[in-house]
Amino acid sequence: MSKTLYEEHRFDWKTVSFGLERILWGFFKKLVIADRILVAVQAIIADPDTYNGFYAFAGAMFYALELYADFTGGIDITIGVAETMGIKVTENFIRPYFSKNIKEYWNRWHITMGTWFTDYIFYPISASQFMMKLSKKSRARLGNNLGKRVPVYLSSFIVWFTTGIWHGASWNFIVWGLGNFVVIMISQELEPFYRWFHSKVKVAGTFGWKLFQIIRTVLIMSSLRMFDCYRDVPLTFKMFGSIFSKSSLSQLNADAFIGMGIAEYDYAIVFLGMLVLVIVSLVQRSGSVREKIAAKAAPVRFIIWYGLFMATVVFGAYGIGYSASQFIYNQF
Amino acid sequence: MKKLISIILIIAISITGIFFATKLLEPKYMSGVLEGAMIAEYYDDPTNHNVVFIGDCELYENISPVYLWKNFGINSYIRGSAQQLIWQSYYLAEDTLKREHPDVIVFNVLSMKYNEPQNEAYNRMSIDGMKWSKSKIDNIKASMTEDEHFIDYVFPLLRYHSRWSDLNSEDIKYLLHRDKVSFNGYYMRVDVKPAEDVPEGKPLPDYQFGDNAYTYLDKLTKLCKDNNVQLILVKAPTLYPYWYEQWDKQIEDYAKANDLTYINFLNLQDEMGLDWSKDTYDGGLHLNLAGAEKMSEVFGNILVKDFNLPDRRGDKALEKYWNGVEARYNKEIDRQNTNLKLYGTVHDPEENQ
Repeated sequence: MSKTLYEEHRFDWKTVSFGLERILWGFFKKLVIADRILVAVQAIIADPDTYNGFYAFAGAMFYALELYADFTGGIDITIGVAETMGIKVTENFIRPYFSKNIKEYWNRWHITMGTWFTDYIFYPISASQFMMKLSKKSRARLGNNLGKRVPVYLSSFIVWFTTGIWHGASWNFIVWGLGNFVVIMISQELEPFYRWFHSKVKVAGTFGWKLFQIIRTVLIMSSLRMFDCYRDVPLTFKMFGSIFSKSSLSQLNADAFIGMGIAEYDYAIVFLGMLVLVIVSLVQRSGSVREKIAAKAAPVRFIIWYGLFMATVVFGAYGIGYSASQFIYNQF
Repeated sequence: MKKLISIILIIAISITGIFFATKLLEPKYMSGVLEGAMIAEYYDDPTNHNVVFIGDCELYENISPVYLWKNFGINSYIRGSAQQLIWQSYYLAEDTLKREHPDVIVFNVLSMKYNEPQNEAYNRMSIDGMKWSKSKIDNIKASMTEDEHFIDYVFPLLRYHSRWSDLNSEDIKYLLHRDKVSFNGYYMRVDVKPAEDVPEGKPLPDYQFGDNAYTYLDKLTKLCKDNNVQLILVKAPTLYPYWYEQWDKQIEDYAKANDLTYINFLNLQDEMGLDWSKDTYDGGLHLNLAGAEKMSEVFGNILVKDFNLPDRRGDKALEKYWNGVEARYNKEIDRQNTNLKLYGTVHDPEENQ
């Protein structure tokens, strides 16, 4: 980053406008989606006795959306501001909800954090003399196959433990971190099973299988995030359990969701916002969305950006009547 | 050249879009809470007033400018708004004196009990209708509560954007114009709800009006003196909110010290012939039309005899203007009385929903 910070920057209208567009996109995600659905998330978390079963599941899904929109919205604004000044900041999120497994997820979500923990915790620990000795001893005692796992698992355990603490010095974050560790280790251990499965059932690479993988990853990560929602380990386990033990058809009740403090049209706005997010993410897979828009005729560019601006100003959940919600990232 | 035209076009379309979005989403105050429309209505009156009343609902619901004109030839306007605070009254007075030179400004002293900003909704109703000027800027700065921002007044879209979910046909109908809701600032109610069991005021820990309130009363006094306008302090004859003796004494002392007239209409109820079983529409908080005309009769006499206000009946332009106001006034009396007979309320059925 130091290179881009200290090198000469000349005014470039395209860079400035791209930066402003990125800032606008960040505000759209934060104000229209994140801050709006946050009301429902807070209502569900605040009253676990009432909002259990399916509501707890809904809360986890709402939080997944809220966290993504808030976090990436803030990052977009930061990157956009830097871009207006000609400074290129590393991307921090690359469509993480399109991940097909948890390892891929952590290569796409909060990338700078993952890179930092890998470079400054995992590699130094795993390459340390202690780990080298431990590796030798464990291979000698447990055999090559099992023995080689010990230093890797131990290093990963330390990384995820410290990742948990980095989010907050409380048990819920530690358990969340270690939960990620457990899921990653299990998925690594299941690889032989997956290979055998795919040799028998020819679904690898199909649209249906990819969709299954994506949904599975979202569900696993959203479940782990319940520790972040409820901030209490026993309560989180209880609420997670209630999804299976207390869900009922009667909970599919529009009035109950409206009773959480957001109206039906707010849910509609969140849904439409989410749709825009998905469409933009899909388009982004084949290259920069802003470059694609910049290649369009001027009236089309104007309609898109002005439309996004007005949608943010009109539909944003800000101002009097909305509780000011800080950016999630501020807490960490 | 082509690029310059494109830039100008983009800016023009953007500003137009924001303008129309603001006009669409800002509250119209054409039904329900009408008071929000009142401050802006003042600028539609082209006449020079001899009396301008400035203050809260104890003025705009208790005095009838139409009665003052018909019976005394007094050309007046009530620059009133709900829970108008004294600093808002001061800046409205300042704004008024930039446009005209009335002989008298009448100020209702109930607002002395408020020393700090109170309520964002009332602020907006008192301030949004003002034309932009230094007075409006100062008014905003003096009035903002903690959760308000100046930029929300400059760009009302930032405040009212959330009304998108409450839009109705009125927002389209009144996109670019407003109907008059008041009669030179008077808010009319013909219905009756007798005053019964009005509670006595509870003892207060401190009856002293705040420093901020006194500062603005001083400023208002000086403003009027510097502009050769007579300032009359009044307390309207309403039973609630309770007007404490200790407050009354402070105003009396202030008026004496500053050579001002102070009229407490609570002491003139007999002279006015007020009947609390017939002359109020909300149990004694405000007078109805009958009560307002009684108060206007007494106040009109005071203004003519003690303040030598001219009788301007016969002035052709004013006669024409007031004929229009009186026609609306009488039409509104009929409308409210008809609704009372048909629906038991002065409001139209659509408003009751």
